[in-house]
Amino acid sequence: MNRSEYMAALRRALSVLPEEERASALRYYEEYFDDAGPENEQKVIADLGAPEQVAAQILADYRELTAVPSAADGAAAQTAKRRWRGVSPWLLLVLVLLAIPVGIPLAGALLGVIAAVLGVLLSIVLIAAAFIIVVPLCLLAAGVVLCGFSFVLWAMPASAVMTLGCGLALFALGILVTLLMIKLCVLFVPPLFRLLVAILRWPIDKIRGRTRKTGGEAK
Amino acid sequence: MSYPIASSLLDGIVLAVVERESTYGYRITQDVQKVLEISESTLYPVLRRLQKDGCLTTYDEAYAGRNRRYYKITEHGRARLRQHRIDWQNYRNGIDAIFFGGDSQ
Repeated sequence: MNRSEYMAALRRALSVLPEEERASALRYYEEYFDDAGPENEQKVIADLGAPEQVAAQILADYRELTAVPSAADGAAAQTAKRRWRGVSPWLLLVLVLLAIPVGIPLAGALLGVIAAVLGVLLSIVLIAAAFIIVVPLCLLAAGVVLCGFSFVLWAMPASAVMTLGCGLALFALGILVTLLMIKLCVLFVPPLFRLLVAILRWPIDKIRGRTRKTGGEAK
Repeated sequence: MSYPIASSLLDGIVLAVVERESTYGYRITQDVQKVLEISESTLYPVLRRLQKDGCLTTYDEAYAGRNRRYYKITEHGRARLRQHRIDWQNYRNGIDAIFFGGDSQ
Protein backbone atom coordinates (compact mmCIF):
# COMPACT_ATOMS: atom_id res chain seq x y z
CA MET A 1 0.00 0.00 0.00
CA ASN A 2 1.36 3.43 -0.87
CA ARG A 3 0.40 6.86 0.41
CA SER A 4 -2.37 7.60 -2.12
CA GLU A 5 -3.95 4.17 -1.59
CA TYR A 6 -3.79 4.69 2.14
CA MET A 7 -5.45 8.12 1.87
CA ALA A 8 -8.16 6.77 -0.46
CA ALA A 9 -8.96 4.02 2.03
CA LEU A 10 -9.08 6.58 4.84
CA ARG A 11 -11.42 8.77 2.78
CA ARG A 12 -13.77 5.82 2.21
CA ALA A 13 -13.72 4.87 5.89
CA LEU A 14 -14.59 8.45 6.90
CA SER A 15 -17.44 8.79 4.39
CA VAL A 16 -20.09 8.93 7.13
CA LEU A 17 -18.59 12.14 8.53
CA PRO A 18 -19.85 15.58 7.46
CA GLU A 19 -17.76 17.03 4.62
CA GLU A 20 -16.00 19.58 6.82
CA GLU A 21 -14.92 17.00 9.42
CA ARG A 22 -13.69 14.58 6.79
CA ALA A 23 -11.76 17.28 4.94
CA SER A 24 -10.11 18.35 8.19
CA ALA A 25 -9.00 14.82 9.06
CA LEU A 26 -7.77 14.06 5.54
CA ARG A 27 -5.82 17.29 5.41
CA TYR A 28 -4.19 16.47 8.75
CA TYR A 29 -2.96 13.09 7.48
CA GLU A 30 -1.90 14.48 4.09
CA GLU A 31 0.26 16.98 5.96
CA TYR A 32 1.48 14.24 8.26
CA PHE A 33 2.84 12.37 5.24
CA ASP A 34 4.30 15.63 3.85
CA ASP A 35 6.06 16.47 7.10
CA ALA A 36 7.35 12.93 7.61
CA GLY A 37 8.93 13.14 4.14
CA PRO A 38 8.65 10.74 1.22
CA GLU A 39 11.49 8.60 2.57
CA ASN A 40 9.37 7.76 5.63
CA GLU A 41 6.17 6.94 3.71
CA GLN A 42 6.19 3.23 4.48
CA LYS A 43 7.16 3.82 8.10
CA VAL A 44 4.26 6.25 8.58
CA ILE A 45 1.81 3.80 7.02
CA ALA A 46 3.09 1.06 9.32
CA ASP A 47 2.99 3.31 12.40
CA LEU A 48 -0.47 4.71 11.70
CA GLY A 49 -1.97 1.24 11.34
CA ALA A 50 -4.93 0.25 9.20
CA PRO A 51 -6.85 3.24 7.77
CA GLU A 52 -10.07 1.71 9.08
CA GLN A 53 -8.61 1.76 12.58
CA VAL A 54 -7.51 5.39 12.26
CA ALA A 55 -10.98 6.24 10.97
CA ALA A 56 -12.65 4.34 13.82
CA GLN A 57 -10.76 6.48 16.33
CA ILE A 58 -11.83 9.71 14.60
CA LEU A 59 -15.43 8.54 14.31
CA ALA A 60 -15.58 7.48 17.96
CA ASP A 61 -14.32 10.87 19.09
CA TYR A 62 -16.66 12.70 16.73
CA ARG A 63 -19.68 10.75 18.05
CA GLU A 64 -18.64 11.47 21.61
CA LEU A 65 -18.58 15.17 20.76
CA THR A 66 -21.86 15.42 18.92
CA ALA A 67 -24.17 12.43 19.00
CA VAL A 68 -25.08 12.18 22.69
CA PRO A 69 -28.66 13.49 22.58
CA SER A 70 -29.05 14.37 26.26
CA ALA A 71 -25.86 16.40 26.18
CA ALA A 72 -26.72 18.10 22.89
CA ASP A 73 -28.41 21.07 24.53
CA GLY A 74 -25.65 21.53 27.05
CA ALA A 75 -23.03 21.27 24.34
CA ALA A 76 -24.89 23.83 22.24
CA ALA A 77 -25.08 26.18 25.20
CA GLN A 78 -21.40 25.61 25.86
CA THR A 79 -20.40 26.36 22.28
CA ALA A 80 -22.56 29.49 22.44
CA LYS A 81 -20.77 30.51 25.62
CA ARG A 82 -17.42 29.73 24.08
CA ARG A 83 -18.22 31.79 21.03
CA TRP A 84 -19.08 34.65 23.38
CA ARG A 85 -15.82 34.17 25.20
CA GLY A 86 -14.12 34.39 21.82
CA VAL A 87 -15.28 38.00 21.39
CA SER A 88 -12.47 40.22 22.57
CA PRO A 89 -13.25 42.53 25.53
CA TRP A 90 -12.34 45.58 23.41
CA LEU A 91 -14.81 44.68 20.70
CA LEU A 92 -17.40 44.15 23.40
CA LEU A 93 -16.60 47.57 24.86
CA VAL A 94 -16.93 49.23 21.44
CA LEU A 95 -20.24 47.45 20.88
CA VAL A 96 -21.49 48.62 24.26
CA LEU A 97 -20.41 52.21 23.55
CA LEU A 98 -22.09 52.10 20.14
CA ALA A 99 -25.22 50.71 21.73
CA ILE A 100 -25.48 53.55 24.28
CA PRO A 101 -27.16 56.18 22.00
CA VAL A 102 -29.79 53.64 21.01
CA GLY A 103 -29.86 51.75 24.29
CA ILE A 104 -30.46 54.63 26.71
CA PRO A 105 -33.58 56.04 24.97
CA LEU A 106 -34.85 52.49 24.50
CA ALA A 107 -34.26 51.68 28.17
CA GLY A 108 -35.91 55.00 29.08
CA ALA A 109 -38.93 54.25 26.92
CA LEU A 110 -39.18 50.77 28.40
CA LEU A 111 -39.00 52.16 31.93
CA GLY A 112 -41.66 54.74 31.00
CA VAL A 113 -43.99 52.07 29.69
CA ILE A 114 -43.47 49.93 32.80
CA ALA A 115 -44.08 52.95 35.05
CA ALA A 116 -47.26 53.85 33.11
CA VAL A 117 -48.62 50.31 33.37
CA LEU A 118 -47.83 50.21 37.10
CA GLY A 119 -49.49 53.65 37.53
CA VAL A 120 -52.67 52.54 35.75
CA LEU A 121 -52.81 49.34 37.81
CA LEU A 122 -52.27 51.29 41.04
CA SER A 123 -54.97 53.82 40.18
CA ILE A 124 -57.44 51.05 39.34
CA VAL A 125 -56.71 49.41 42.69
CA LEU A 126 -57.06 52.76 44.52
CA ILE A 127 -60.33 53.63 42.76
CA ALA A 128 -61.74 50.20 43.53
CA ALA A 129 -60.63 50.51 47.16
CA ALA A 130 -62.12 54.02 47.38
CA PHE A 131 -65.35 52.81 45.86
CA ILE A 132 -65.55 49.84 48.20
CA ILE A 133 -64.86 51.96 51.29
CA VAL A 134 -66.33 55.36 50.42
CA VAL A 135 -69.75 54.31 49.03
CA PRO A 136 -70.94 52.40 52.12
CA LEU A 137 -69.40 55.01 54.43
CA CYS A 138 -71.25 57.81 52.60
CA LEU A 139 -74.52 55.90 52.79
CA LEU A 140 -74.06 55.24 56.51
CA ALA A 141 -73.04 58.84 57.16
CA ALA A 142 -75.97 60.22 55.14
CA GLY A 143 -78.35 57.98 57.10
CA VAL A 144 -76.96 59.15 60.44
CA VAL A 145 -77.03 62.81 59.37
CA LEU A 146 -80.65 62.55 58.14
CA CYS A 147 -81.74 60.79 61.36
CA GLY A 148 -80.05 63.53 63.37
CA PHE A 149 -81.54 66.23 61.19
CA SER A 150 -85.05 64.79 61.70
CA PHE A 151 -84.84 65.60 65.44
CA VAL A 152 -84.42 69.28 64.51
CA LEU A 153 -87.60 69.16 62.46
CA TRP A 154 -90.01 68.05 65.26
CA ALA A 155 -91.88 71.37 64.64
CA MET A 156 -93.07 69.76 61.38
CA PRO A 157 -93.82 66.16 62.43
CA ALA A 158 -94.58 64.95 58.92
CA SER A 159 -91.29 66.25 57.56
CA ALA A 160 -89.46 64.95 60.62
CA VAL A 161 -90.89 61.44 60.23
CA MET A 162 -90.21 61.54 56.47
CA THR A 163 -86.59 62.62 57.09
CA LEU A 164 -86.13 60.03 59.85
CA GLY A 165 -87.54 57.33 57.55
CA CYS A 166 -85.24 58.33 54.71
CA GLY A 167 -82.30 58.45 57.12
CA LEU A 168 -83.05 54.99 58.50
CA ALA A 169 -83.55 53.65 54.98
CA LEU A 170 -80.17 55.09 53.87
CA PHE A 171 -78.49 53.74 57.01
CA ALA A 172 -79.94 50.30 56.31
CA LEU A 173 -78.84 50.53 52.69
CA GLY A 174 -75.38 51.54 53.92
CA ILE A 175 -75.19 48.42 56.13
CA LEU A 176 -76.36 46.25 53.24
CA VAL A 177 -73.81 47.76 50.83
CA THR A 178 -71.09 47.38 53.47
CA LEU A 179 -71.95 43.69 53.84
CA LEU A 180 -72.03 43.37 50.05
CA MET A 181 -68.62 45.00 49.72
CA ILE A 182 -67.16 42.79 52.45
CA LYS A 183 -68.58 39.77 50.63
CA LEU A 184 -67.13 41.02 47.34
CA CYS A 185 -63.74 41.58 48.95
CA VAL A 186 -63.73 38.08 50.44
CA LEU A 187 -64.71 36.63 47.08
CA PHE A 188 -62.40 38.60 44.79
CA VAL A 189 -59.37 39.84 46.68
CA PRO A 190 -57.64 36.51 47.38
CA PRO A 191 -57.96 35.25 43.78
CA LEU A 192 -56.84 38.66 42.45
CA PHE A 193 -53.95 38.64 44.86
CA ARG A 194 -53.03 35.13 43.80
CA LEU A 195 -53.21 36.17 40.16
CA LEU A 196 -50.93 39.11 40.83
CA VAL A 197 -48.42 36.91 42.65
CA ALA A 198 -48.58 34.38 39.82
CA ILE A 199 -47.89 37.09 37.23
CA LEU A 200 -44.94 38.42 39.24
CA ARG A 201 -43.52 34.94 39.84
CA TRP A 202 -43.85 33.75 36.28
CA PRO A 203 -40.57 35.19 34.95
CA ILE A 204 -38.66 34.22 38.10
CA ASP A 205 -39.94 30.65 37.89
CA LYS A 206 -39.02 30.53 34.25
CA ILE A 207 -35.43 31.58 34.96
CA ARG A 208 -35.14 29.23 37.90
CA GLY A 209 -36.68 26.38 35.93
CA ARG A 210 -34.21 26.87 33.11
CA THR A 211 -31.21 26.82 35.44
CA ARG A 212 -32.57 23.73 37.15
CA LYS A 213 -33.02 22.07 33.77
CA THR A 214 -29.50 22.85 32.58
CA GLY A 215 -28.16 21.87 35.99
CA GLY A 216 -29.78 18.47 35.55
CA GLU A 217 -28.31 18.09 32.13
CA ALA A 218 -24.83 18.92 33.35
CA LYS A 219 -24.84 15.85 35.60
CA MET B 1 6.32 -0.73 32.20
CA SER B 2 3.96 1.84 30.74
CA TYR B 3 0.76 3.24 32.18
CA PRO B 4 -2.39 3.81 30.17
CA ILE B 5 -2.84 7.52 29.44
CA ALA B 6 -6.15 9.12 30.33
CA SER B 7 -7.56 11.36 27.64
CA SER B 8 -7.60 14.32 30.02
CA LEU B 9 -3.87 13.87 30.63
CA LEU B 10 -3.27 13.74 26.90
CA ASP B 11 -5.24 17.00 26.53
CA GLY B 12 -2.96 18.63 29.08
CA ILE B 13 0.20 17.31 27.42
CA VAL B 14 -0.86 18.56 23.98
CA LEU B 15 -1.79 21.96 25.41
CA ALA B 16 1.61 22.20 27.10
CA VAL B 17 3.45 21.27 23.89
CA VAL B 18 1.52 23.83 21.84
CA GLU B 19 1.94 26.49 24.52
CA ARG B 20 5.73 26.39 24.18
CA GLU B 21 5.41 27.37 20.53
CA SER B 22 2.77 27.17 17.83
CA THR B 23 3.47 23.99 15.95
CA TYR B 24 2.06 21.42 13.52
CA GLY B 25 0.61 17.93 13.81
CA TYR B 26 3.67 15.90 12.88
CA ARG B 27 5.93 17.81 15.28
CA ILE B 28 3.45 17.53 18.12
CA THR B 29 3.27 13.78 17.59
CA GLN B 30 7.07 13.50 17.53
CA ASP B 31 7.41 15.61 20.69
CA VAL B 32 4.86 13.63 22.63
CA GLN B 33 6.30 10.33 21.41
CA LYS B 34 9.65 11.25 22.94
CA VAL B 35 8.15 10.73 26.38
CA LEU B 36 5.01 8.63 25.86
CA GLU B 37 4.20 5.50 23.94
CA ILE B 38 1.32 6.74 21.84
CA SER B 39 0.23 5.65 18.42
CA GLU B 40 0.68 8.07 15.51
CA SER B 41 -3.06 8.25 15.08
CA THR B 42 -3.87 9.18 18.68
CA LEU B 43 -3.35 12.90 18.42
CA TYR B 44 -5.61 13.99 15.57
CA PRO B 45 -8.84 13.41 17.56
CA VAL B 46 -7.27 15.16 20.56
CA LEU B 47 -6.25 18.20 18.49
CA ARG B 48 -9.66 18.35 16.81
CA ARG B 49 -11.44 18.15 20.16
CA LEU B 50 -9.27 20.85 21.73
CA GLN B 51 -9.88 23.01 18.67
CA LYS B 52 -13.64 22.57 18.98
CA ASP B 53 -13.45 23.32 22.69
CA GLY B 54 -11.85 26.65 21.82
CA CYS B 55 -8.53 25.70 23.48
CA LEU B 56 -6.60 25.73 20.21
CA THR B 57 -6.90 27.63 16.94
CA THR B 58 -5.25 26.87 13.65
CA TYR B 59 -3.59 28.99 11.04
CA ASP B 60 -1.89 28.15 7.77
CA GLU B 61 1.63 29.11 6.90
CA ALA B 62 3.47 28.51 3.65
CA TYR B 63 6.22 25.92 3.96
CA ALA B 64 8.16 24.23 1.15
CA GLY B 65 5.63 25.19 -1.48
CA ARG B 66 2.56 24.12 0.44
CA ASN B 67 0.44 25.30 3.33
CA ARG B 68 1.19 23.81 6.68
CA ARG B 69 -1.47 23.95 9.38
CA TYR B 70 -0.18 25.26 12.69
CA TYR B 71 -1.88 24.94 16.05
CA LYS B 72 -1.85 27.88 18.44
CA ILE B 73 -3.05 27.96 22.04
CA THR B 74 -5.90 30.36 22.97
CA GLU B 75 -6.53 32.20 26.24
CA HIS B 76 -9.13 29.56 27.05
CA GLY B 77 -6.53 26.89 26.35
CA ARG B 78 -4.04 28.58 28.67
CA ALA B 79 -6.62 28.63 31.45
CA ARG B 80 -7.34 24.95 30.84
CA LEU B 81 -3.61 24.20 30.95
CA ARG B 82 -3.22 26.04 34.27
CA GLN B 83 -5.94 23.80 35.70
CA HIS B 84 -4.25 20.71 34.25
CA ARG B 85 -0.98 21.72 35.94
CA ILE B 86 -2.70 22.12 39.31
CA ASP B 87 -4.54 18.82 38.93
CA TRP B 88 -1.36 17.04 37.90
CA GLN B 89 0.60 18.44 40.84
CA ASN B 90 -2.07 17.24 43.28
CA TYR B 91 -2.19 13.85 41.62
CA ARG B 92 1.60 13.48 41.60
CA ASN B 93 1.91 14.58 45.24
CA GLY B 94 -0.65 11.97 46.23
CA ILE B 95 1.14 9.16 44.36
CA ASP B 96 4.55 10.34 45.63
CA ALA B 97 3.30 10.25 49.20
CA ILE B 98 2.28 6.63 48.75
CA PHE B 99 5.34 5.54 46.75
CA PHE B 100 8.03 7.33 48.73
CA GLY B 101 6.33 8.17 52.02
CA GLY B 102 7.21 11.51 53.51
CA ASP B 103 5.02 14.39 54.48
CA SER B 104 3.94 15.87 51.17
CA GLN B 105 0.29 15.61 52.26
